[in-house]
This record gives sequence, C-alpha cells and structure tokens, in this order.
Amino acid sequence: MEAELVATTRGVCPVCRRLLPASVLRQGQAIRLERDCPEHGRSLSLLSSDADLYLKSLSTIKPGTVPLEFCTRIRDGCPADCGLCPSHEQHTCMPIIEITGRCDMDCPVCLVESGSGPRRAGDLGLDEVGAILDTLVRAEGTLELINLSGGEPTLHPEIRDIVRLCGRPEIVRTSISTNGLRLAEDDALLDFLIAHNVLVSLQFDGFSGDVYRRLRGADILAAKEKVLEKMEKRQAPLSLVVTVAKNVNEGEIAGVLDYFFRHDHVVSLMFQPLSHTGRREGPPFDPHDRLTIPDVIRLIAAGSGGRLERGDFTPLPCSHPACFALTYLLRLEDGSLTPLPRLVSVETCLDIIRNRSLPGLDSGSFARIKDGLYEIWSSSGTAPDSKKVLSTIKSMIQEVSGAGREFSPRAALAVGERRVKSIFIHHFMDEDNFDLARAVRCCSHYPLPDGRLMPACTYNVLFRPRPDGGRAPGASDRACRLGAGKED
Amino acid sequence: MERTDRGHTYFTLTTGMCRECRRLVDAKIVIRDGRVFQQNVCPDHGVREALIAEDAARYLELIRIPGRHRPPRVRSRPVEAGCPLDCGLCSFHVQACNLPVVSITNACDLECPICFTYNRKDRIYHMSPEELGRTVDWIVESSGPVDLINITGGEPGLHPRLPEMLDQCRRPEIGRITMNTNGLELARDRGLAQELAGRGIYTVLSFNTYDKATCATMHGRDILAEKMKALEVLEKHAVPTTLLNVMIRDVNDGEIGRVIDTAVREDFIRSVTIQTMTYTGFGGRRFGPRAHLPVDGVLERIERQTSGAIRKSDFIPLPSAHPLCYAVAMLLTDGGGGFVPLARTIAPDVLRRILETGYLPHPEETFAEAANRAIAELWARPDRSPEDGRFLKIARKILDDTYPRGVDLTPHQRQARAEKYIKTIYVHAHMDEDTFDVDRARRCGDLVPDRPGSLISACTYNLFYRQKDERYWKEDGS
Repeated sequence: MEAELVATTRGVCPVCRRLLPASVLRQGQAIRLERDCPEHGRSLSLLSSDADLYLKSLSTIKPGTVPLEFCTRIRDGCPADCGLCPSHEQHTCMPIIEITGRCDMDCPVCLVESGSGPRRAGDLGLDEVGAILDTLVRAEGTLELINLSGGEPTLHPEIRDIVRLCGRPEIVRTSISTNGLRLAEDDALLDFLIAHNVLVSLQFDGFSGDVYRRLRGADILAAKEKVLEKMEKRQAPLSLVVTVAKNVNEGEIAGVLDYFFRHDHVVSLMFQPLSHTGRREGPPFDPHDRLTIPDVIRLIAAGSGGRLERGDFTPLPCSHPACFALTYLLRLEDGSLTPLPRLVSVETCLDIIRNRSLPGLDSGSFARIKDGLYEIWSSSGTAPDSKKVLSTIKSMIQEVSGAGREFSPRAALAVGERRVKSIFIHHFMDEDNFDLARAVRCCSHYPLPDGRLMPACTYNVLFRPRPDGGRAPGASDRACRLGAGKED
Repeated sequence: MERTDRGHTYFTLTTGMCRECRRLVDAKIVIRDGRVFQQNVCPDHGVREALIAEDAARYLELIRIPGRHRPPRVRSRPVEAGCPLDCGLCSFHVQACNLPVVSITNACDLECPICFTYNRKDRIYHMSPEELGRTVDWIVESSGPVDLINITGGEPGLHPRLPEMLDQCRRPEIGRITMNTNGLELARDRGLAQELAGRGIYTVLSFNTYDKATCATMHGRDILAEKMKALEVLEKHAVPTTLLNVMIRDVNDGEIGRVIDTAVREDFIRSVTIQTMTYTGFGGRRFGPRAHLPVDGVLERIERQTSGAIRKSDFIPLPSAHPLCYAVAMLLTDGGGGFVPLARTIAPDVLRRILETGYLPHPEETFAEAANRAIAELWARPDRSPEDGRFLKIARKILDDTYPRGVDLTPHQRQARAEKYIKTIYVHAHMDEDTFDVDRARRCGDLVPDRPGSLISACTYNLFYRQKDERYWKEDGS
C-alpha cells in the first residue's frame, strides 16, 4: 500500500536502540513509524490503528506548564540533556519514584526488568527518597500526586518510613503501584497504607489465571482477588491498572469494567496497552499488530455494556494524543454515572483536565468546572439528566469551596474521588514506537536519586541501565544524534 | 510559588539549524497567540524564534494532511550523517524532482540587497554548453520526464552562449524550459526576447514593485523603467511570462494586488510566483529588519488587496511539497480581466489530484473528468450564481480548445492551450537559517543538479552546499 508522509521525527533502532531520523507514515488506516538503521536496516512499526483519530487529535493541544526549576541545562540537545532541561515542554504531573529494584515476581513483560534475582535489590535509602522529594518540591511547589513504584515497593524494608516522608504538606496524594502479593497477606501494611491516605494502585490484568501465567509468568489470580476483597471490605479508594496485550487479555476488559462500575471505592481504572520494552519476553509480540489507544477505546466501548461510547474519550491535551486518552464519569446523587464529555463541550472538558491527573485539584480548575456548570445551565434540556447533574456539581462546589471554607487541595481531592471516577489509557513507548517529538511533552517522570527527573519512556528506552550494565547508545552517542553533529 | 504556563503550545520537534554557528539543532514548532513559530534551540547561542505561519488554525488543518509524494527514481547517496548532510539525494528524501534548477552563470549586473544566492564578480564562471548537456543528461536519467527545467544564475541573460545553452535543454523528456531574468538585458531590446520567443522559452521576470524607491531598496538601484520596458518587450514578442515577486513585509507587501491584476489582464503573463523574503545569501543575510513573512501571510494580503476576488481558501498547498513551502491558486480567466478561482467550483481534493505531479496543472483525464463533472453539476443546479455562470462559459471554451474534435494533442500542447485560460498563482517560502526544517527539506521537489550524480533540494543547497561549490561561493561572503 502506498505510504503518505505525516511528519518527520526521531525514533530508535529496535535492535541497537540508537537514535535515528524517523518518518511518521499513513498507510490506509494505520499510522506507522519508519526508520532506517545503518547497521540493522529498516524497521516499520505501528503507532496507531486509527489514522483519522490520530491525525485529528494532533491538534488537541494546550500550553504546557513550566516547573519552578529545571535540573539540567541545554548542552547537547534532546534527549541527551534529559532530566529535565529547560527545553522540556511539560512539568512533572506524575512522578514515579522507584524505591526499590526488588520484586517477588519476574514478569516476562516487565517494563523495568525488575525481578527476584539477588542483583536486583537496589533499595533507595530514606535519605535518597527525602532528596527526591526535595527535588520534586523545588521543581513543582505542590504535587497533586506522587507514585511509589519499583520493583515491588511494598517489599522495601522501610516502606512505612517512606510513606511517612511522603506525608509532607506539599504532597496532596501518594499512590503505590503494587502487584498485590504482599498486601494479600500483610493486613497490617495494608491498613497502614490506607490510614496514611495512600491510594493503592493494583496491577490487575483480569479475572483469568491463564492471563497471569502468560503475562506475569505465574497464576497469581488468587492473590489479586484477595486484595480486591480486602479493599472492598474496607471501602478504601482503589485504582486498577490493566496491561492489555493483543490476543491475550482483550477479553478481560468487560469483566474489569463491570467490577469498576459496580464498586464505588474503585476510583480509577488505567489501561496500558502492552509496551514491549525492558525484558521484552512473554507472549509473542508483533510491532505491526499491537494494541494502540484507539483499539483500547474500541474494546472499552464494546465491553462497557453500553455505558461508554468511543466519543466519551478525549486525548489528554497536556501530553501527546498518542500517549493518553481518558474519560471522567460523574457520579450523580442517585448513584448513576455520566461521562463528563457528554455534559460539557470538549473544549471545557479539556480545560478542566488540562495538566491534571485528577480534576478539581486546584481552585483554577474548579473555576473551570463552574464555567462548565453555566454551560450546562444554558444548554438545559440538551444535556441528559441536566437537573441531576446540576445539583451534583452544585453540591461538589459547596463541599469544596462553600461559605467560610478555605480551598484545600486535599478536601477537593476527597470530594473529587467520591464524585468522579476516571478511566485512563496510557500507552508507554518502547523501542518500536519511540517518538522523540512525543517525549518532549511527557509529564510522567521518574525522579532519580542524582536529582534528575526523567520522562518515563525516554528513560525506559534510552537511559535505564540494563541488568547487564549496558545502556542505549542513543542516550550518549552524539554521532548517532541527528542534530548534534557539526557540519564539516 | 505557583508554576506558570509555558506561554505557548508545543506542537512538535524537528531539526533546524543555528543561524550563528550553522550547526544542526533541535527545533520546536510552537503556537502562540494564534501564530506558529519555529524555535531553534542552540546550546551555545540560545533560542531563536522565527514566524512560520500567521494562521495557526489553518496550519493545524494543513499539517495533518499526509503528503502524497512521488519517490525519487534515483537516490544515489547512502544515509550516513542524517538529513540534510547526506544530500544528493539520500534514501530519506521522499520527493522526486518536480523542478530541476540549474544555475548557468554567477555573473550578474545587479547587487540586490535581497539576493539569496552568492554571485562572484571577482571570478566569473559561465557553465559550458557541454557541461549543461551532461547535467541535463543526468536530470533525465535521475528524474525521467520532467514538466519543467529552470535556468537561472546569476543573470542567465549575461551568459555569452545563451542560445546554445537553451538548446541543450531541449529534449523530448523536458516539457518546458523556463529562464529567470532580472530584465535588464530584455529592456535593452537587443534580440534576447526574440531568441526566447523563437525557442518557446518561458521567461520568469523578477518583478517586485511599481515604486521607484522600493525598487532601489530591493535591487540596490532604481530599475523600474527597465522593468517596465522588459515587460513591454516580452509582450511585443509574446514571450510567455511569469512574474516573480519577492515579497517583504512592510516593504512591498501592499503591491501584490496590482501585480496580480496586471497578470490576469495580460495574455502573455501566464502566472505569478510570490517568493517570500529569505534572509540568507549575499544580500538576504544582511537585509533588515528580519521579519519573516510566511505563505499564509501572503495569502491574507492577496485576499485583502483583491477585495476577496481571490481568497485565502482559493489556495491549496502544493500536494508534493510541505504546506509551509508552497500554496497554489488557479484562476479561470475570461481574457478581459475577469476570472473565477477554480477552487470555487472544483473541490480541493480534485485540485490536489490535478497538481499531484508537480507545478503545472495536468489537464489530462482527471482534470477533464473533474471539469466535466463540475460543469454537469452546475448545469443541473437551479440556483446557479453569476460566478458559476462565468465559470461555465469559460470552461466550455477551454474544453473546446484543449480537446478539439478530431485533433489529437500531446499533453504539453494541451497544457499550453489550457494555460491561456488558467492563470496560476504560486506562493513559495524558501527556507533560511531561521526556518530550515528537515521535514520540509526532505519533501522538496525543487532540486539542484549541482553536478552529474547529485541532486540537492534547493534550500538545502543554499544553506549547506553552495559554500562547498567553488563556482558560486566566496569565502567571506561579502
């Protein structure tokens, strides 16, 4: 099929990971990334299976936010200067702190190659976590959300002290990414986390033991279900994170959605189409035939029992449209859920969610919700259930900023979590679909103990030290960088 | 302390160059206040920003239309250092040659402050007919049949063996020969026009202004009388002519309406090409103030100065180029100064198809079909506007003329006949140090065959290779 050129960017060779000039091409309804490695030849991989949606969402963009401080300076250009240099276009919306390299699983699809082997420990010391938090506070002032990750963070011997460190006033909410094995057994730790307002973010690929065998290397469904039970019993806020792999667990989406809809304490659901970086093992993976965001949107719409449509999802305007799509569901007073994009215009919706992982976390975003309210008012009758929606939003505003109340991010968050459920789709980049133009506005960053803040996919693909000690040449080899060589 | 907004919206990252050190650098495309800028980020010389589009909404519309490029037949260089350093062409180049641009001399009788090339008075170089012959061989070998070849300089009118040079370009594979000139030699009326007319050469006359002072600003001295005389001579000898207008913000950007009006009235003028000022080369790099005028800025001025007779929406980006490089409008003229832009009656995607293969509308099957369809639809339409009526009348005349009963015309003959009725306006933005973008360079179809075996896209040649070409480069550049 004839290919048409959409854009020129830089990608990496899937074999040697050196940075290469790359072409974004349209072939029928597929958007593909093409690059040509002098050593390993041409490679072509799928970026999106819905060219119309991809092209349309390229213009769904909003200005980024400047952090208060940058950690590196511009010396060799992007991505060599990473961590963040002043040229990076987005602040740290979602810091992911990897507090340990140890894990009680050896998942074939692990992005970060954590595992149970002896060399993997790599626990951060309390002083290092403290320094990371200092960096974050210097760069961001206030952090709406930070995420503790790993490895398996619950295995860190000082996990309780780390959670206490995260309780500092500049941090509104801490979440912890976990496989659930330890929490299934350790009630004391689970209760500690809940008591310290930590949002448990459970890695959950479905209700089938076989899926875990294929993606995770072992059937750990029982442990997962145990954590679900405990969280339900405690009615503590829970987030579920689903890795979706082609021909493995698309069929699980309906069941997970059903669980999400039926349980008020499940505040958010995250779908991550499989990103084939890190260990790169597991089920057969075809870079031409992988799940991309539009596929996941289709699967969600089909599996939602009619509750959701494809149009309910919007790209996240503060990052690249190929990185994120999301929808918010407003819980009305009668318990029913209505997708926010059906209530307010796309533009208002984008303003509300702009640069935020959760809506309503600052007074400005609340003001925008209020503007949205007027919009609903003026379009009364066209929005479904407009009366119920109005009274729901009015009472939210009342709770957050009603008479005599100081605006407090934590209070707003609590209200937001009770009233709003969110579904995110986040497609991490791997060696096959890495696009440097996307990385420039990444908002999910790994803070490193050395003071750098690394955009997640740039770090995973180019900078993360491999278990064998190797690094990608793209990160450091200037000769391979388009844009670094002086002409001679 | 509160974090602040960026103040702009990031769109994408590409590769540009630093004006100071001429090194390739990261270039961000950002949107601010409804306009689009390219920010070149040089580690040593900071961030430098240039305006690349005045209408961000239009830019975002166009940039999302994937480019339909015709791949080059020959890509003789391997990818090594990356675009544009491997040029010649390498496998990263996506567009075949639309227009070979051949400089046959570095002699010139002007020293224009707007000149974007380097001429060398101190070391005059005239290409020999033999060398040109080999170059044309290479063009045909590398690019197959081409619609056009452009002979330029320097001032080609000063080449002592010009007729022989032009004859070297006559090949069955080359549809049309065009020659650029500043018009001074034509104005002397010593036979150049007859030479051109006799050989069927299309003349591209640089014509920027009707104002003497502006003329001096742009050409270094007032040559308005010579320019007018050149027009007169071209008309007298019925030389098919393109007016080439370099447009500079706040210098001559108020005169394009008048230039276009002249073009639609005069039979011998076939098209107008507007090139926005490029701040590079002998004059350009020192010309001030640097105020980049993007393609859409030109379209906006045309709309205003023609009182909407030609609108921004009458232009489509040239399908085989980057939308920041080229826009084209085709006007159906009635010979008396009246015209209807084709885009008013023919859908943009049909126009795109007509222009897919290059710069000249190909009045072949697609075009005839589209015109027939438009005509049929208009006949059937009960609410025909006067504009539609005019279109119908002219369209019938053209069809009778280009598809005469019982006569078989070659495509080139057909093109020439249709051209009397279809006048074309091209708007072209060259790149300079501030606006160079590899995404644009690799889609370029204006190629310089600087030596047999090599084809280099025109702006890449200007910015990276001319200085390696001893024939046209002077070290200190002054």
